[in-house]
Amino acid sequence: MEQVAEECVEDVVRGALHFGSGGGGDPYLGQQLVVAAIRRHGPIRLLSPETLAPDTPVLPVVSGGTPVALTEKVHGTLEARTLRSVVEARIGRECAAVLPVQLGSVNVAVALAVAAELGLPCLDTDLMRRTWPSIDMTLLRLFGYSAAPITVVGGAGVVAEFSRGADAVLGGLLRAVMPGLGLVALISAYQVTAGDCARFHAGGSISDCARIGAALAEVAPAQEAGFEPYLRACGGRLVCSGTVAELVQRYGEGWPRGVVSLRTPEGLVRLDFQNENLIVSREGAVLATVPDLIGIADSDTGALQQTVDLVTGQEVRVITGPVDHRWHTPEGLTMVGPRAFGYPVDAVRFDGAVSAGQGRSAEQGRSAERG
Amino acid sequence: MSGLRVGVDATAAVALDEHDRIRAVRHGDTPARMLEQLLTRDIEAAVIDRVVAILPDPEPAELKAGARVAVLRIGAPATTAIPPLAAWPARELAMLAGPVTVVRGGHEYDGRVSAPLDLAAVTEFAHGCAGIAGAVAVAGVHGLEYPEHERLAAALLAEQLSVPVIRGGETEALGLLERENTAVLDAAMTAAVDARIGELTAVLSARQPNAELFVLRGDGTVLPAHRARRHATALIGAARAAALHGAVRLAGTASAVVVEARSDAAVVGRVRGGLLPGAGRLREIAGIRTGVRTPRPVVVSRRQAGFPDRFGAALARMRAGHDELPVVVLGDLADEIAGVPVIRPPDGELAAVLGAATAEAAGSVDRIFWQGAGDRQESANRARRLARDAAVRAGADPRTLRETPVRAALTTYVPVPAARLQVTAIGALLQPAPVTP
Amino acid sequence: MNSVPITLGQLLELGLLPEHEVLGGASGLHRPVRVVVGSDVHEIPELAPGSVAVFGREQLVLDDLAVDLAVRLAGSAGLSGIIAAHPHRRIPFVTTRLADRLALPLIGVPDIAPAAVVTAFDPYVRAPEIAGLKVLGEVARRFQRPPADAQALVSSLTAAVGEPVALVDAESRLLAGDPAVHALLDGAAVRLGERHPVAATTGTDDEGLLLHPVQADPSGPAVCWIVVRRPRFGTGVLLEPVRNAIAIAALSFALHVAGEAVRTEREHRRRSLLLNEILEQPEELGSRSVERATALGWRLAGWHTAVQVQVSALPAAVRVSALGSELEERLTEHGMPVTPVERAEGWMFWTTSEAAADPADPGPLIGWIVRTLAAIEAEHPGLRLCAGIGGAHPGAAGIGRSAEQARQAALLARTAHRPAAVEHIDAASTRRLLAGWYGTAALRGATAELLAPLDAADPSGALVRTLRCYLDCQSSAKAAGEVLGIHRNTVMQRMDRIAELLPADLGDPDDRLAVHLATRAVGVEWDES
Repeated sequence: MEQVAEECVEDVVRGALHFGSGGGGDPYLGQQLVVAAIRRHGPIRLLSPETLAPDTPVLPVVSGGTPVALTEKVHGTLEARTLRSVVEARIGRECAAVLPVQLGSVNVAVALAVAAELGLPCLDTDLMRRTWPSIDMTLLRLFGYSAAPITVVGGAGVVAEFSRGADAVLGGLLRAVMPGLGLVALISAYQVTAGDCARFHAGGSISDCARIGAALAEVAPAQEAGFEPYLRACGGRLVCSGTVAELVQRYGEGWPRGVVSLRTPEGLVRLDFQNENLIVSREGAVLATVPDLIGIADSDTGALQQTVDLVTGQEVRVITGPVDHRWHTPEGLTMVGPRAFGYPVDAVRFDGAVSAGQGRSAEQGRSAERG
Repeated sequence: MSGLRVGVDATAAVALDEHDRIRAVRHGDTPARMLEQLLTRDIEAAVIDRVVAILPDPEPAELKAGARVAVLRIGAPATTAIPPLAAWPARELAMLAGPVTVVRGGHEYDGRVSAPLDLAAVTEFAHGCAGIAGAVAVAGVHGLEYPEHERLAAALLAEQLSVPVIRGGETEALGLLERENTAVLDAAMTAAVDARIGELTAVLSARQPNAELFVLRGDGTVLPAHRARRHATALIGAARAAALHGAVRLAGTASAVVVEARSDAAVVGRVRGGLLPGAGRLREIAGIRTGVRTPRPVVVSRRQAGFPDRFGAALARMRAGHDELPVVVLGDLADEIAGVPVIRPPDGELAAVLGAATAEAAGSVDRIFWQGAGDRQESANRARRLARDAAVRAGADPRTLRETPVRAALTTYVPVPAARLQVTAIGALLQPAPVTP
Repeated sequence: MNSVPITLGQLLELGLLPEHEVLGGASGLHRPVRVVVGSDVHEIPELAPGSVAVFGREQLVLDDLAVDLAVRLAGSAGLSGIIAAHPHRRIPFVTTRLADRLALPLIGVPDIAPAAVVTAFDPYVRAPEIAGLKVLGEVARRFQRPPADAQALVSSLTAAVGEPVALVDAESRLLAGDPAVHALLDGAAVRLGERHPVAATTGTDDEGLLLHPVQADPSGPAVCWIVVRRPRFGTGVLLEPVRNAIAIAALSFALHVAGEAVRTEREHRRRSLLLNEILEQPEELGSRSVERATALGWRLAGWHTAVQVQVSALPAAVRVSALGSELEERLTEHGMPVTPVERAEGWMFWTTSEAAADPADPGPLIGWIVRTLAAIEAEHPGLRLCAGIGGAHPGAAGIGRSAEQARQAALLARTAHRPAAVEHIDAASTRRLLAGWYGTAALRGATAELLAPLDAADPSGALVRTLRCYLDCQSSAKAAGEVLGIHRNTVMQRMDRIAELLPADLGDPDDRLAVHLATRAVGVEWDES
């Protein structure tokens, strides 16, 4: 895929929703954002990082904040330019492309819109290969890069920088300044070159979104079999179909924790979520967990849902899909496995298999079977 | 003694007495003429309390014939990445778009003023609209919970332009774009709705000047006519909702699963305590997302293969977890319902007008509540109060109000003491006070 | 020792786990508990069936993801319950429903210390009897002294067994306590009026009852019954101690009842003695007696109308001694504040008016008495009462005269065979009385035979006259002597003689009655029509 033109925006954003795993924000907003940008600036060029000189700096871009705040107060055009100038001033060179930090319907759109706004191409890659809730949860960091320096641009022209420090601390600091910025900010982090991106082979992110999004459009949602095109495209499986019986959310330490109860013909299914869906289990038996993707599609429309928007009585289908294999290494699981989110269970792959990076995998398998 | 209640749609007009008994029916003419005949020939001297009308859904042509809408957004320098109408479908954009601007102003989620409202820019915009715009839509960032800037700007525009000014905050919906889009579409269709309401008002003021006119919304509850003219999008889908409500009334119950069998499809819906629980989806009109939540009964087409199976699945789904609810069937659908006890009320063909004549009024709240200052219970109480107020404004008798539980969704990604709260209040329409001669 | 294990439901009922909440799986509360252990989710499969696993807040909070696994593991390991920290938030529907489906009790406790829970439960699990002993000990302590009244019994027992209690009489009327428990009695097929009552247990737990009789006389019928709703998880080892506890309460209450009976009895005896004095020596009453009579509200001056009430049919369940108090209460209720005094034949009382009344007209008295008796009969199925009313007679001596007439009238009433029969003495009624008895020649012949030995021994008729007078004077030799103008020793001698001669036993009320009637019949002119 070489560019994103208006006619393929819907597919890209719809597909990005798949990588949101129940979070990542509202697709309508993302679609509007990119269409508005393309209408102003023309189609957005996509570049593979290999096509740039390895030492070319690129501009990682992510929208920080809470999705509902963004639907109320989307970015201005000014933030993109401010962000670029601050980052380029710091590194003393021009950035050649925008680098999406994460895949998710808002953040794919924000990266594309920023690229359009800045007249830069967008790299067909990203740093997370899905949506994670914190800027320090990237493949780059998995390979030892620091998230610093982090640059934050608020709507009212506020610029903040976190130059150095432990990534977890910086992630926390970042979240701490968000309320003051009205819960909306444009953020850049990591010092990355095109060569870094090429080395990680995380390519084809936007193309993947477009491909999966196109398959999602093919879904005939009334029957489970109707999801076949989508499952083929994302390599996932349909776990169950059911009715939302309850959605509870509670304040906790850090992010709110939520549980969706689903009534399915095979029994009750529980979906634990925070910002994204984290664990799907049936009567105590864990069916799939982070880092793999867990999506919920509406049975009437086939559209993937934001978990917080589910309503009681809604008919849904639960779909799990694989994620970049490097998240399944022991280091990856330490960063984004179930325990990293506070759930004392071992990671289970989207297809129910034991995650490769699992130290205590055998025990987990046994206890799940026994029940 | 209370007077009669009239329901009218494109196919029939019906008058009910206080016991919901049918006093008179008219068919086969325009709504205004059926109403006229009902009032003059059928019920003559009887007093009419209210008329509830189901307006036909707007045709695309009407949108085309509608006003050029000027759009003023309050939120700069934020939000400019998606200017008003910027990503609308080209056809609708060409039909409706008038002058568009984004001025400084708006609030933050916690009530802080992001920027003072740029009144000079508003005034200047008004000048630019004069003679071009047939209506104006105004929407502000966080304008639902903090409506001051929207109100100020709308008042200024109304002062300078003698055209309808619709505020985004008039629609209870999350999302600046959703409210803005709704305001634009409502503004565009004001004239068309006015015309339809006008015909009925003319009949009433001649024959029953004391009767109140209400218009049915897409959820089957009412809006007073003077407010309905500003909310055309909210009226879409009223006929189907009215049929569901009417079927339940005909069956003499308050809650039921309703099957409406038509020649081309079967519609399966559920009514519970006067509300149509749905997936809470936002209605899209020609690909434009509005802030109007729409109940979504399941429509099972008869044209595709395997109708009995698909219908059976839809019915089972609607009944799942609601086994105690009776199934009310309108129309002819015998074979597919075997094995389920059903109620087949008489006068099924009048379900929609009956649903209108007996409709209730509701008010909903769906917004982000900042809980930093008070506690969570306090904001839940405020949400309930707002919903009750909205229901009363829609015509409900405060003494009859009932509420749904408050649904709370916490903010993700950045934990702050703010939550999206949703609640609906609904009640019977306020009876007019008895007039002593 | 551990023959019948305790259930989790029973353990919770003991109140050992304050503020606990059963969040799901309530139908499994009947499962037997073999052991209560502190646990970790991964240890559950190793636990023995029948275990109750207790989790500290660090191990498990009930809205944790791990709870679903814990419930399922516990279900397949055959556990009898899970006790864990209740987070005071909504427990997800999936969890509670799963517990319901597996019938695995899920108990939430706000503050949980597993070791404390295990320690508190353990003794009861090892030896369920002690759970019962706890109740038993509590009851024994509370009922060391008999309860002051029925109310005290009910409230003490309710507190001790933790279940609602009612006290009912032998005809299942609620005397005190919980009307709901009393209502449950309707369905229970227990015969409370049995001559030899035994404790009973009805129904199943939840809607069953425990009944225990209160017997003033250990071999007699029940005075009343203690009824207790069966404890919800009261089966086996837990039920027996509760039964025993109720028995203790019943015994204690029986003491109270017996004490009351003695007190009443003593009071009645005093009244009886006083009345005897009035009847026998109306003109020689000492000042103390007059004083006591006045204190009782008895009037000696004025015109007196006496009433005698008798029992003509007595069902086993009704105690005669209790009827006296009831009669007094009912009479008072019906506007006659009088004190009936127990006599050999029944109860006697009188009303007094200032003015000379028509001796033959008792006024509204008959109506009152009829209503009173009917009301009492209505309360006791099978009970039949009757009464006689004497004529109005002046002065202290008039009491005795009226009383004698009342007694005679009562005899007539007794023959009436109708409910609440009341007869008033007057000439006509005396004749009717006698007519009733001697209306046939055959009976007259039998009567004549009865007195024939006396006639044979003393043709002058002195023995018959003495006998009649003696009986008329209510077996008072002194009174009879005065009437006859002879010394009372003479009366006594003649009576000894008469007793020897008569083929009847004057000590037997029926015989005495027959003889008395026979003496009254002598000399009456019968219409032989």
